[in-house]
Amino acid sequence: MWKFLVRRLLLGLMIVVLGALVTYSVIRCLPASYMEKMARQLSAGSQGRVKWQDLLAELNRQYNMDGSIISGFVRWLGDALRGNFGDSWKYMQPVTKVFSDVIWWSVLMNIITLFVEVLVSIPLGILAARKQYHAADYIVTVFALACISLPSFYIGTVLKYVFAVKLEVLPLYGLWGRYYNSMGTWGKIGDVALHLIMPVATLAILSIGSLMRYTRTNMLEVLNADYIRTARAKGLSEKVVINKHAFRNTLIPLVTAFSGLLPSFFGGAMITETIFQIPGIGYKSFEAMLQGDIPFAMFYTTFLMVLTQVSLILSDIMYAVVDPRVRVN
Amino acid sequence: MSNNKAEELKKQEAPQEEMKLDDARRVKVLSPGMLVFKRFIRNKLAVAGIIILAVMFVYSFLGPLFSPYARAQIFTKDVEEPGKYATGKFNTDSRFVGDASTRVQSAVLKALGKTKSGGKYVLTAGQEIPFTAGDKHYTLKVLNPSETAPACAIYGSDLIATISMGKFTQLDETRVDAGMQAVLMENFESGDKKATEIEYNGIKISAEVTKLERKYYAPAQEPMAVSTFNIYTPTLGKVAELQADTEFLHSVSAAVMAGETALEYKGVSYGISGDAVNGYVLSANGSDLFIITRDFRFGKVRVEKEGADGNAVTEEVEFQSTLEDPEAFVAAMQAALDAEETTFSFGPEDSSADYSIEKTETEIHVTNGNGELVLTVSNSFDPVESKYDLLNDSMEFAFAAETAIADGAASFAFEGEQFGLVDNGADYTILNQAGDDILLVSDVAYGAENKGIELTVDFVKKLQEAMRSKQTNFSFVDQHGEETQATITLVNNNYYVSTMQKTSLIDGRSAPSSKHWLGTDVNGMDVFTRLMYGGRVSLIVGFVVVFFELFLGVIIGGVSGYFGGVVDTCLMRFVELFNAIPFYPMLIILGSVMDNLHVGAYQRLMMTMVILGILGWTGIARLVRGQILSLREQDFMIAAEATGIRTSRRIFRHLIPNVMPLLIVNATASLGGIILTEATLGFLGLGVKYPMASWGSIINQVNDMQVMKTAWWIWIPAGLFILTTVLGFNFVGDGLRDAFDPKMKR
Repeated sequence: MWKFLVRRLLLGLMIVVLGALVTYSVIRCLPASYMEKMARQLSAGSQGRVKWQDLLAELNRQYNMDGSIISGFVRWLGDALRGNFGDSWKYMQPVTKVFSDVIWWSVLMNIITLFVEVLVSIPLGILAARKQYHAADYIVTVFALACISLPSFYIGTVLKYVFAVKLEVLPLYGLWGRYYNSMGTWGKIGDVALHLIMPVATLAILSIGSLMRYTRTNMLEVLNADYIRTARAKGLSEKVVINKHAFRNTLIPLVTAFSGLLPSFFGGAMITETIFQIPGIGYKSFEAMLQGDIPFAMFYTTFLMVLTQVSLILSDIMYAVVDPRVRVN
Repeated sequence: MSNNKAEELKKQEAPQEEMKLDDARRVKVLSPGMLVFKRFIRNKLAVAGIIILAVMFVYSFLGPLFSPYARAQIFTKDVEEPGKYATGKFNTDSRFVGDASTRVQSAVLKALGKTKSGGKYVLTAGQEIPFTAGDKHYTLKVLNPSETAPACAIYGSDLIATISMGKFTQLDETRVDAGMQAVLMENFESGDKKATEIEYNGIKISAEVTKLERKYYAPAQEPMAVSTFNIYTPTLGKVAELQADTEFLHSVSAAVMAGETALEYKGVSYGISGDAVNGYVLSANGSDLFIITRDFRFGKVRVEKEGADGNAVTEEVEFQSTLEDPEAFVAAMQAALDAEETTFSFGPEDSSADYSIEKTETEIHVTNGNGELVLTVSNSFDPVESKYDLLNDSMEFAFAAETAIADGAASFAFEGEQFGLVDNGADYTILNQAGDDILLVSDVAYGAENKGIELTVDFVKKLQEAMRSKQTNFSFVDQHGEETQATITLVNNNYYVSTMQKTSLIDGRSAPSSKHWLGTDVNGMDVFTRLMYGGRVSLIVGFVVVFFELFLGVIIGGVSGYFGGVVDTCLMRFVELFNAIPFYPMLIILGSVMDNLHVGAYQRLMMTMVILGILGWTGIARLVRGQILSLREQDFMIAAEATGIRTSRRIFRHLIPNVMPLLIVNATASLGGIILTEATLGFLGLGVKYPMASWGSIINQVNDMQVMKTAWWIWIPAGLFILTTVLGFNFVGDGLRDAFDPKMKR
């Protein structure tokens, strides 16, 4: 087990480093117009006493942009391993500060979404499995497929159109209303909650489809198992059969499925956050990446890769924990 | 099976020969493919999916063939809105005709201004006002003592004599006689420096006194300029009517073309004289009306040129620019015309080209060998009376006219021609000998608002009428012969005239109508047609990317799964690396890289497909590897190995076909996902760009708040199209999975 873990961790580290190298190479293809703009501004600030070309060279040196891609990457990696991810070009702050300022909004949004998702999709999935090939099953299946088939930006825009533009009951975008600062604690919570309704609904609609289908498939498998037949043969009521015997066994694969949610949990929902202009990690990094903010983009992509690796390792462990039959290797 | 059915079956089988229970004919054998197909079409959702996809494909790929509009056709609409047409003003700035320098002009205005009282000029006819400009003496003689628009003649002064050191020098023999000399000498000897105004026999003489000498000036006998507030507008009289009569011009043109020398139109006979080269003169009742000259209009021709990429490109150029000497071309054509030939050749001897001449009723058309119209010769009509335009700048004419106006005369003579003068109350009309009104004289200044507007005589007349009667609306006949309504707004003594003008605007965001079933988008393009082309791109992207993913995935997954060992480990690490790269961040970074490199729309589409493929193949590689790993251990593979066939044959003949069902199911399901991804990119503005369209980039316009609020037809249908198409793919994918793997179902 430990041997496996160590090997898996080393492999994960290697993948993260190589993935960061690929990202770094691509991002360096962006013309460094940002650097030039900064240099010209600084030069203008000094009334032209310092030539902007000199400043540009200085900036390039500071941001490891003067050498080749490889040497720049090695220096970036060296700094990153020491926890120094540099200053974001767009936000003019240390990347890690921007990150810690906004990450919790994304996490909060995702936690609420997860609750909504679980509350809606697991009962529906079980219902569909129990009534296989009945009208309820078809409705749930079509609904699930429709949720999967909807583009996130379209759900978000339609929700905005209906609830913010036409009905004018929910705020159009953002996380805080105009009078946020003058509100009491509960008022503030209510304001944020109001602003989160549509983003959470969007994310939930996007994800309930797949979870519902996953639950249905698992439930069907469990319902066909011998021990369910045994339970029924014992004369247990249908309620007990479903809730005690079948449902609990359905949870096993679901638990492992949840460990795969880790990257999206902390990685933010880029499209949804952008549509609703929620100042979470997804929106911030989208804006930064559009402008070729290398420190921020590198931090964000590396962070996502680390999360992915961690979640993969976690799900491996979870498999072993949940199902003792699974042996590593 | 019900009893009835069983009996029916028995009845059917009864006449046939009895079959044994294990008779092979009793068992209907279906091929595995047929089995899958049967199971598939029994699934209602899958069939619905197939129908949806069929409709979408027909719409996207055949729709454009029937759509009357092009992919990026921009529609415009004509809007009638009030636009500035012209400005009128009662003239308060004196107009100078003749030779008056700016210095003199300002001195005149100053001298005139001094006579003002209560905002009006107080002048009497013939009054003389002396003034100086610089060191010269002038006299202003009032011709027309109007309170608002006086006219004056400006006389310079002649130096007639000087007396220096007691010595008299006579400079103008005709005007200085002995008597005058005596008066001047007396003035000199009096030594009175202030005695500078002397009158002798009605001639006002002014003296310029210096220490050593005196200079004597007398007013010039001829005026040098006329200052007037009146504007002379050429009206052309009867000729103007004829010129506006297109039917008349057409018949004259036809007569000229036919070489006739006379024609009759509405009971009046006209004569035509002259020749083609120097122009014809059209006359009636002994007076010349028009000079008819030929107007040459060159056409455009297609020329093959070497394009930027080295290939021959046909380009449209002005025919004139291909000729070294257009006049020689015209001469050659004329020679052919004179010789009554219908073709002629022109050009350098080694590359001369043939041209043919065709005469229509009123025009001559010259076409080249390719049938392109290179030259059109038509007649242009120049009114003879436009010579009166020149009178505008003639000081003598202005002098004569203004004097006549002041005298209240009904006619005056100028350069041997007698002109009539009609007093209309506030303005005057000047008639020529034939009795046509040729000039309108009034103190109203006017100007068109922009170059395209030619103010008609009718407009000027109606404008003045309206200004004098303080009306705010009037109608007039404009340059195109159309009756037009005009509105006057008075601001600071300026009368601004506006008319309803047609302007062409991009017909953006117009609601659905019979012409545009789903309205038009922000750029004025037909949404229904855009959606067809968008569907093409979205579907093509989906299929190309899936094939690309399959290609990479099957090869890498197959090799990895079959060979195992080190190869497998290496390839799988590679797959994991690709899997680890965050999908959307990478797409966004690459999208903005392409934005910054200004990649063209077509290359961008290609690049997007390649990127989506490269980031998406790992799933298929894993799937194929897993399948092959388990298939490899099965008995049929051991058998295949035992027969000793080639490795490639073992992989592609025995392993891959077994993976195929799973691949098909997966590919169908991932098609929907790819379409979604591409649409998301388009929505973020990182997908295909104008002039191409994709469903996502059409929805992109919703980022404009105005579009979201007011123009649902731009973005709702595109989203529904994405939804139904992806849903269709998911239905079919689900159906295929169930059909291939029935165990999952029951």
